[in-house]
Amino acid sequence: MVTNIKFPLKVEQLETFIKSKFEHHSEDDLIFSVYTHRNKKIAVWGIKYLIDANRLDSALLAPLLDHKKAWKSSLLLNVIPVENGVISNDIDEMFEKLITGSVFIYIEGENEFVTYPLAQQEERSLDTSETESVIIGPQLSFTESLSTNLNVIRKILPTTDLVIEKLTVGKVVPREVRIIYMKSVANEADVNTIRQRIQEVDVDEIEDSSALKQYIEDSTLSLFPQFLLTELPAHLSYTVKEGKIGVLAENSPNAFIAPSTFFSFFETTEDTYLRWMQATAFRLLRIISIAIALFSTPLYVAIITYQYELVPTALLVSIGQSRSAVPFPPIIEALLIEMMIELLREAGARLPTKIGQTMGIVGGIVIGQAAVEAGLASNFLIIIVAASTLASFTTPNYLMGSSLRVIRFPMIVLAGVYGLIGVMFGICFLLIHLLRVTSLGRPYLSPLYPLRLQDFSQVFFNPPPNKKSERASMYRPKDQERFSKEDAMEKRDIEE
Amino acid sequence: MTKLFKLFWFSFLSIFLVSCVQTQEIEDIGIINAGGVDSTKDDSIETTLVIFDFSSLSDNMTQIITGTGKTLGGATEDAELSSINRLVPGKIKLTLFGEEMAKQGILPYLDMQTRDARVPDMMYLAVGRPTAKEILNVDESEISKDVGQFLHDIIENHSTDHNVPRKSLQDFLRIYYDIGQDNVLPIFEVQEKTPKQIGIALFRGDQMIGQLTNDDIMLINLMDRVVKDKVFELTLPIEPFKDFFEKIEQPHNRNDLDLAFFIQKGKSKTKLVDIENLIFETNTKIQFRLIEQSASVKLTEPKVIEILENEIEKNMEERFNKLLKKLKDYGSDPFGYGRYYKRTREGKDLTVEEWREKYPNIEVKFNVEVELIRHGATD
Repeated sequence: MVTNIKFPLKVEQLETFIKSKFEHHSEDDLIFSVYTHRNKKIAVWGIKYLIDANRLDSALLAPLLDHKKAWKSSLLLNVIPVENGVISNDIDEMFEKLITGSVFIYIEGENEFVTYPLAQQEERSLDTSETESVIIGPQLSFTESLSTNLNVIRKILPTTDLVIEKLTVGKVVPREVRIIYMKSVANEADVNTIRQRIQEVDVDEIEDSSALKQYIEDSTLSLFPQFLLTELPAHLSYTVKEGKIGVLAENSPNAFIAPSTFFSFFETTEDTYLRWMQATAFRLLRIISIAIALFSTPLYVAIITYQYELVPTALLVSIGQSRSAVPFPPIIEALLIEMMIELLREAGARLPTKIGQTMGIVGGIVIGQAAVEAGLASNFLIIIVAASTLASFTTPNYLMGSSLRVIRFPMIVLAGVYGLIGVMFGICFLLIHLLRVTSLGRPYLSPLYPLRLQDFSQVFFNPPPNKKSERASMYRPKDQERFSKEDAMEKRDIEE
Repeated sequence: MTKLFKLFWFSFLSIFLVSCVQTQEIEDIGIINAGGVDSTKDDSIETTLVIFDFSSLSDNMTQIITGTGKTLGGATEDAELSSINRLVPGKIKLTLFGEEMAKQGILPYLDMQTRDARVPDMMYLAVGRPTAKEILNVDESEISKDVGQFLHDIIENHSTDHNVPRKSLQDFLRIYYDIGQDNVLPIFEVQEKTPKQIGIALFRGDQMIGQLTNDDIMLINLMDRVVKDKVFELTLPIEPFKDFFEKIEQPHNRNDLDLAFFIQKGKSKTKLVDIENLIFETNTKIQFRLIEQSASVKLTEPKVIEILENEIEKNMEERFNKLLKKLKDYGSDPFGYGRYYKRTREGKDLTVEEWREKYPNIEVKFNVEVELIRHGATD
């Protein structure tokens, strides 16, 4: 077996060498054609399924063989109408490019070969978002193709201020990663931190941007996601304008945004498109649902098991009536129903939509009706579990929503074991944890802690446009002013 | 290492301390909703308890159980024997004392309940005639509610319109330990199969010593709070209005004029005028609306309004004086004049015994000032 070769060499030698390297691969996949042009042998090779065959024929082979004069490598670059041609003699690099879809031309007797990238990009078309659906505003979501995604981002933010840095991660499978930020707004320290963290990821490969996110997050043990994952280009561009940093990776339909605070997971881009009052009401609703999602079932368990005194008498009677047929202690009852709901959710996520619908109906009937009639659970609990499940689904971000759903289970156990004291214990644990978590070194619970009163209006409410002249200070943007407060909304209507 | 230790400690607590907290699953406890305390002939106590029992599958969730013993605790223990579940007092809304019991004094039982942290301090107190047991054993189908909740709601809802005195355990004990004031409690009796408030029990210390009529509670309320939105009736002599009847009216033959009023706002201020002779002055201001009259008087004439106001003032003052005389005879001071005396320098060391001695000798000048603010549309 030939281990290495040196240019210049015979075309036959080259063929044997390349084919020997491809020993275990299917021979059919490698095209190695030899043409004779003006008494010079010219070899053209590439991998069949990676190459755009039409362009190979029309743009490369046709001008190559129709040429009137004898070829030289340098001449190729000037004549062949394909962009990004490179002259090289590095054999290792050749193989790397071969498997990403390049075509190579070697003219016998030359000291180097010429490379043209002719890869055929197989990608799905742009589609509307599935996991983060919006009612009004841009519906577009990212695809697996990085170039398409960058194209979309550039289209939304056509400004030279937008910087898209290129990095590569993965030793065995190198993958392209892009950092996106606004040069005049983003905090430089944050940009440096995230660049450094990505560069220092020393793994064989990253599957996707959400996997990269897990490698570079501040705390892997935390219950909460520290970087916001989104599949909406509109969301990414909006937060980039705020001075945050977005990261996109090849082969990944998600971008992540850093730094992100706990409350930023409850903001949607829709808040910007709705009128401010409605948007404020909905955002408050989402923040209240955090408490409903986390604490309603644990409180039910704690109160029914230990602190019956807290229930008004009339309510106590109706709870007691629906509980009287249930043979389990409240904690088992609650875990059972919560488990059913989680099973339903997980099964629904895995099944195709058509079957999923049927299952939803069956699950709904089983949980809603049959569980009560069979004496497995009380009516009251079904309502409470339904409310808390609904509340957890109002979270716009899927990762945060699933965090909240998972945290509920230890809370229920604590409530069943120690009652309200247990619930308080859980709340304290959560609060202490939230206080300690950071996102890219910035406090996660900001603006609550550290207290940034001037950011309250932007985080908990959605103020009217003229009150949004400043960016949130908690991310420490380089440039805090969005626009001039006085002039921005001045109306110069003609009075009649 | 510390993390591991923390984790160990956490799981240790959750596994080994689980049964340290006593569970009170609502279907495994008998929740006492109301209790009654009666004295029996042989000097022991009989307690009647209305409990919620969710362990049974029957539609009727309430049960009435009784027990006897020498103490309230013993009687409750005895009652527990006839319940499937352990009894818990966390939801007691009302304690009824039988009339006999109330006359003997109720402090020992209140004291026991107030020291039990599980018993709500907001539990209402009332007197049952002839016994608490009879009231609590009323047929529930007649009142379509469990009797404890029924009595609790009567006190709760009617006390806001000042018909029923609302005294929680905490209120009763505060007034009891305060020098210079006495308690009143509602008296319930079963009438036509339904419990009804038939009067007000007057207490001296912790003993019931007499009874007032339902109307008197308004006068007592006027003394210590702002009375609002209360309807009350008055009967005035017809004489002063003789010349002011509407012309279309048939000659009015009756001797008096019945009127119904709606008190918009009424409040009083009491001053101790003469410490030596214990002369008090109570100024009461009432704004009211006239809502009903048994004969049409010409209300358009300013003079009529003036006469009306004067007559009401006279009538009210008379009622106050009559009530005070009755109270002095009983030796009980629900108006709380003793409090005003104790506030002075001379009375600051006042003891209960001293006030009981002085109380019959006090003199009060009642000045009632009423203002008719509306007599047109009523709502």
